[in-house]
Amino acid sequence: MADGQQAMPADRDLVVAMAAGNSEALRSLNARYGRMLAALARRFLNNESDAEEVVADVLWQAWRDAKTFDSTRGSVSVWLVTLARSRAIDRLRANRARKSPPGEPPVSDPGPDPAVDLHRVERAHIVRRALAGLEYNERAALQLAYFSDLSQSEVAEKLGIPLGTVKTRIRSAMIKLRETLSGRHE
Amino acid sequence: MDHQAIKDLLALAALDRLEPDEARALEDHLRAGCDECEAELRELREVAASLALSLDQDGSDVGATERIWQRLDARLRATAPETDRLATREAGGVRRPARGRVGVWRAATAVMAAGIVGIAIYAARMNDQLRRANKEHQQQLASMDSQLGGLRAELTRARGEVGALQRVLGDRIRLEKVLSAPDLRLTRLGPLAPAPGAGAIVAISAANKTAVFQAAGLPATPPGKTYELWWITKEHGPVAAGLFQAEDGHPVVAPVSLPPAGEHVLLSAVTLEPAGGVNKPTGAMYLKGAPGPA
Repeated sequence: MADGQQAMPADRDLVVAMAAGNSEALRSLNARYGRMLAALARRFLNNESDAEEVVADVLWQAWRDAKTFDSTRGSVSVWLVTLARSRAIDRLRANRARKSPPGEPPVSDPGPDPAVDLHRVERAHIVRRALAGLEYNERAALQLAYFSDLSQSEVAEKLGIPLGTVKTRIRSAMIKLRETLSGRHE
Repeated sequence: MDHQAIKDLLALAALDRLEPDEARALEDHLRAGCDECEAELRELREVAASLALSLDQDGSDVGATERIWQRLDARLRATAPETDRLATREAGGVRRPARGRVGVWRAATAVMAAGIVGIAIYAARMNDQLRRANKEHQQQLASMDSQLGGLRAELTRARGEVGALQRVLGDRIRLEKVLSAPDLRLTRLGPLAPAPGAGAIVAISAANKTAVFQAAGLPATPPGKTYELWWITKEHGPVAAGLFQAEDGHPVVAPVSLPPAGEHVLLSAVTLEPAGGVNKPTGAMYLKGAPGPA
């Protein structure tokens, strides 16, 4: 994903500002990614409050580690999404260990978030179209691998296909997505 | 694993779905310095992160962003002292605001705001004091102006009194001169019905060319009226001799005109006439008397 757009400060600039102690930059980063990260976390946790707590943890980590962020190793969005996914999985495992009751159902009234800029909405639309362009088997394997806490073997078992096929489908799906998205990538 | 085998792992690595042995192999490969795999892994991680975008509109409610910020803001507030200490250490012991530029700006803004508020309060106080001082000065000025007006009135009244006293004194001096004149002639006027307790005397000295009238017991002169003294002569009847005002309980001394030369005065009388006097008596007669012997 690209950092920043048009007159808006780039994600990298926000992180630099955060490293300098600018809490408004943290607020901007939350406005830019909070809702998306919450959706990602909720996909794992199926609980709005837990998901928001995960996102707060992620952004808090970003705030504290902003000084050590290295943009040459990846974009801010990758950093945040990776952190969010990892923390959501950790939380999911912790919840399982506590055998906590199922979380509250996701909120059913999304509504527009004014903090989400049009660019990100457009990007989301592109990604969804790219996903829709994948073969069903590839998309299923990819989404199961990404949006769950299942290992390759568990995905294979879940889909009822050999492990090697899972690897192939996931790799193929990722390469196709990269090609589709790269044409629109900045 | 060879390079191609590692490359085949990159997509799963980007999804963080490698088995432990695969993850170690990739780590070793990258540590060995394979820039190609490093770059491709970076690209695939971007792709993987993009998957999160597909969930962007998937059930996240509008208030999520604000609630997340509230959690973060609470942490920022809770850790402010800690970041203060960190900032102090980084500054080599020199204390700095906790949150870098924002802290500095917020502190500066707070100081400026406090300064502005202080200036505003000071200005308001000064303005209030000036307004009060101005009001007091205005009141003092008005008071002084009022006092000045009073003094002027007092002066006018005093001048009037002095003038009156001077006139009275002049009249008395004149009366004494007349009374001491060798050719003094007196005319006593007795009371009539309107003023039963009144009385008057007219002193005349032809040598001094002076005639003075003194009365007592007359009622105060009504508004729009005047007392008028008459010489009633055999030749021309009543001849106006002079006007005077009377006050309750106070004697009246007033200069009057000499009787017409060569005429025989039969009587003197005082009547109450319209203000300014008249040529012939029209009002009630208060005093009347015949001239005494020469």
